Amino acid sequence: MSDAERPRRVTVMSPATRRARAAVDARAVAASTRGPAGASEVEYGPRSWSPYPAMRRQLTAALLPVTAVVVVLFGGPTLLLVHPALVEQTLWGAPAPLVLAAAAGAVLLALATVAVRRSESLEDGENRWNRW
Amino acid sequence: MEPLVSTTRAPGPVTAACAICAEQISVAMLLAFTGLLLVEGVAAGWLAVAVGCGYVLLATLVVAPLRRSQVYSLSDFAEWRLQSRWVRRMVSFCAVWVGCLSVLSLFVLAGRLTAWLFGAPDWVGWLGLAVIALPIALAGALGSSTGFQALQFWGLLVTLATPVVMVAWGLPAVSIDGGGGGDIPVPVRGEGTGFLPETSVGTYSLYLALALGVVGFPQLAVRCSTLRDARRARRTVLLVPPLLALLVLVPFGYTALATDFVRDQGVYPELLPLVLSTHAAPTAMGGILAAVLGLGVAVALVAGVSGLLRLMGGAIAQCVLGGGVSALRVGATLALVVPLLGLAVLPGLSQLGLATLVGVVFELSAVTLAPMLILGIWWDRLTDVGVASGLAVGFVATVVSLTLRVTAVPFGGGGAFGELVTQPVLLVTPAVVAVMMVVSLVTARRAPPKVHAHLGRMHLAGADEAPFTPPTAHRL
Repeated sequence: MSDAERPRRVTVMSPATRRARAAVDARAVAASTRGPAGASEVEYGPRSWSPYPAMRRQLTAALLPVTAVVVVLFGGPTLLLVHPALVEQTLWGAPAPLVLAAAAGAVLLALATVAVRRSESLEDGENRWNRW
Repeated sequence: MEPLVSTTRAPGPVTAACAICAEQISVAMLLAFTGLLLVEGVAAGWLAVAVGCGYVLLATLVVAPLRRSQVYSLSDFAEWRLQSRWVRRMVSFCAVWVGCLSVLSLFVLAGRLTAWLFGAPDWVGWLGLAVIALPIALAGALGSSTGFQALQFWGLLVTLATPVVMVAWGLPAVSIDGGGGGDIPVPVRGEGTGFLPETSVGTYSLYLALALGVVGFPQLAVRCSTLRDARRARRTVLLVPPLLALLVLVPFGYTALATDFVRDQGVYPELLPLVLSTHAAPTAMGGILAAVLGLGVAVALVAGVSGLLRLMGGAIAQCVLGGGVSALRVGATLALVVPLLGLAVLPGLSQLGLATLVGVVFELSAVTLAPMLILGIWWDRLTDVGVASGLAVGFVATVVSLTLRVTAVPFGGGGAFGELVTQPVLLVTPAVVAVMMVVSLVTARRAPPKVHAHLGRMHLAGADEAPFTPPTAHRL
């Protein structure tokens, strides 16, 4: 028996049930394509919904470099204040503060690069999901 | 209407990063940093790390949402995010003051340069710079393209590096020692410029001001709007710290030109690169090096002032004068007159150290625009009244602090409290954030109705990655 010949299963619904289901489907479609209430498709984009999960993910990705910024911003001067003699010392032939500053800058840049890559991969995932 | 656009096509990340570096790190900042390094020693090098921290914050927290919002300036951002025209005016007011203070620092440098090179009074340098820069700003030529700003970055780098490189490659360097070289008018290392704080509180305040000041600089939004998408904007900002490191290597090179210095009150620290170039090579070559350096600095001054005047003129024109090219020209002229009047009316301003003036630019940006931008991007309950209250607190605190420094009123008797009064960012920034949040919560009814839509546009990938289209009339 081919598919065409197979008897179709028909669900019999009352008009009230049919209207209620249609309303639920319409709300679901609206929520998934237009975002929260009050947001128009033009402003919100056609494939978007709540921004908060994405914001949380982006903040999580940025947590490490931002923490590093705080540590470097306040840790470096503290080190120089606590050990003033460090200014006169040399590391591998260069002034110690210069070496420390270069090292801190390199670490910060590496962490920021990792965070940006992480954010981009998260966005790629969101884009794939949105397209799907 | 004459179109005034930042760029006519989306620039590449390297070009855009060079332009950002040239716009935000002015020649005044660079020479002030060089002077600090020479006078205070290599410990001042950590200042550059603080600025680099600001760019890391920008890349990870700010630039991508800002690009997705598709605004052309911080004023546009405030109006779009908070749906309030008068908050836009307040943000423009703060941005214009940041620009005015930047122009003021460039004028002060021009005056000192003229006085050192030609023996003329400082005001000759101020007027000379104004006369050259204003027509360029009104014509909208220099400083209006990303390519030119990028070229300015490399020009400044080459100009400043030339004396160092030539001395390093074989010119006989003169040993400037403290005992024998009485005719060499440069400060003694270690006596200090009075810029670097002595207490830990003042030090933290200064470094926080530098990092957050970078986040709030109004030029960045304009640059972001010209980039193709959020991803490219983020990568562009990430390229700025390495370029900054390249630029900062030059001041460190100057510290190798001399081993010790002789005190002379007549020379400001920021002119030390020129003094060292003159004395670090035999007579004729030293003069040529100083002339090359002076010319490069002068070109950078003109480019910097004309670019800032155009930016401020746009902001004034949009918010006060109703927009249009004529209004932009009036606005640019007004933006030029204010710093000149300030220098004429308050003689104490021209006596301040260049590093102090540059520091005030970072401070004002850090306590007003940076909190507004970060909270606007990441907090959904922000209201226009909250932002206005925070901006008012930050601006008043900065003005009071600057006034105390200009009038040299001994406040707090020195120590940590005195340094917090004159270097208030550590105290004021948390206060501004608290005021913005508390007032926003109290005035929750004034939250913009489409806040979720706006947050979605800023944070959802692919929601608003429209290709770059140059604006017909640049809104600043």
